[in-house]
Amino acid sequence: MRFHLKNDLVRYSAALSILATSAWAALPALGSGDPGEGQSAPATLAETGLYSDFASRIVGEGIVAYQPRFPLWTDGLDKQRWMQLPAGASIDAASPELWEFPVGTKLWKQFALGGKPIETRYMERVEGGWVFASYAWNEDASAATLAPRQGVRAAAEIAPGARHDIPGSFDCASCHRGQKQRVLGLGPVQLAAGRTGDGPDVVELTRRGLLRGLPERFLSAPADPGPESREVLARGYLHGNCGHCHNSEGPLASLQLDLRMEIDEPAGEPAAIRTTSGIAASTSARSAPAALRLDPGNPEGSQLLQRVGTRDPFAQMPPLGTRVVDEKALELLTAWVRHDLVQPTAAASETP
Amino acid sequence: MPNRLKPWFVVLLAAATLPLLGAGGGTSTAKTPADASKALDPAKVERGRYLTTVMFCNDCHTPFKMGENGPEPDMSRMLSGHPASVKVTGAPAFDNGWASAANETNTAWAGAWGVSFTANLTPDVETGLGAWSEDEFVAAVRSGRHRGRGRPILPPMPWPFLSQASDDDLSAIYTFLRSLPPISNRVPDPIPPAAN
Repeated sequence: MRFHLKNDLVRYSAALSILATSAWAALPALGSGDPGEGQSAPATLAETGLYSDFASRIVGEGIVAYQPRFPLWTDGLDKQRWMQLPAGASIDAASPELWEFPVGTKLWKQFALGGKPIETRYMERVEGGWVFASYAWNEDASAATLAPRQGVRAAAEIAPGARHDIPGSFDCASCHRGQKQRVLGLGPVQLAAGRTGDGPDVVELTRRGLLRGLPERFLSAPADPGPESREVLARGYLHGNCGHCHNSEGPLASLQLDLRMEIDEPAGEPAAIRTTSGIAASTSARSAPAALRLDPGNPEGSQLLQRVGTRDPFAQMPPLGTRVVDEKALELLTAWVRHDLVQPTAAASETP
Repeated sequence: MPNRLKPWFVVLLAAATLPLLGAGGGTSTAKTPADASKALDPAKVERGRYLTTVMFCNDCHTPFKMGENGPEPDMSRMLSGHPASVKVTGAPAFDNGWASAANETNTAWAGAWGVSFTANLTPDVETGLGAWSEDEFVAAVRSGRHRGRGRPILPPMPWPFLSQASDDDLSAIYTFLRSLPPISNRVPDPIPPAAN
């Protein structure tokens, strides 16, 4: 793996985090600014009920492991995800893109390096919203305790000069409040019928009684799905890594940059192409100076790729949660822009 | 240069030039937000004005000029951030325990983070906060991130302190900022630390 970590940017990031964290951590808490929508989280991971036997890390009965089709890149860390619904309850998917999780739903995502857990993020559905928390594992992986609201900087070194930060409570909100659906990575696109990957898809969840109401047309997998096309993989990557902020319904909707994929996509050009291809970028940065979001045939002139391909903290995308460029994804997106995207004018001229 | 500026806790001078500047308030290129005609609550505006004053937002976000009695904030460019016309190319060298420095307008700050430039807080759509919703403004203050979810907000902006303000106070500050005349002033990108 090759890292895009220039020395100055490493120093830059380090200085930022140290200054911001030290100032925040030293302050007396005045009781404002809690982004949680509900009650506070348990003090330890053990209390959340993930493991029936914490010491041997045996996952509790009724807790279901799942994997999204287009996972979020977190610097190559190993991830495990689980969900638990209250006994007898199910997710209401009558609104296919806005699943309603029953109160009492618990979700976990665990990050590990070399088999050693670093942190476990936790969401719990409560009346009126969700509780967000992250638990930091200790050195011998015998316990995981609630991370402070400002997070934990440099919780683990994941590569020379690159460290993993455990997000603060506002970091959770940065991504999970970017759209109406607070749950990311567990929805109709990510668990689409017949999708590759381990764990249940929507069909299996329905069969187990954990999902109800999803319209029938989404519950049949193609007989021979075959490998996903480069375009689908590229748009899927944008969906899983960017779409939770860059969509048409959240706080950044005014940018008119919609990178989400929908299970029931309307006819015509997908949003991730319509709002990027040949479209002027609304801003620029020193490390991302290209004028167009995506320039068909010209990845070098595509600002979106520049942002995916840098870890300059003032230009990188996503802006948090990663310090190492996802090289494989960059290759995928580059090939997509170079070979598959068509100049909008050319595309229009081919239309009868 | 006569009467070298010495803003408070300026410890060194950055390599900057201060060209002659015209009045910047409400320039013709400034764009007002779409909801600019929406009436603002006068009491909230006044509360926000009070808070931004006593919390010395003007000390960094309003560029300083030389007045008869020394450096003073140029209120014709109130809260419009580091003037785009004032070029700063890098940070000074630090030694003897010094850790940060500001330039003559008190809007460019150098330190371990490189050089940061204070933001344009006026409601200009293109260069200020005109496109920001109140939620985004509050989230930015609370999280230390641009629009609450983007790039980090650099020192010396004391957002960790300001983040503990009440929702009502932050709402008042936002409301007051919306009441300002929009000023078109594109603040430059921060400069990373030097390699040495």
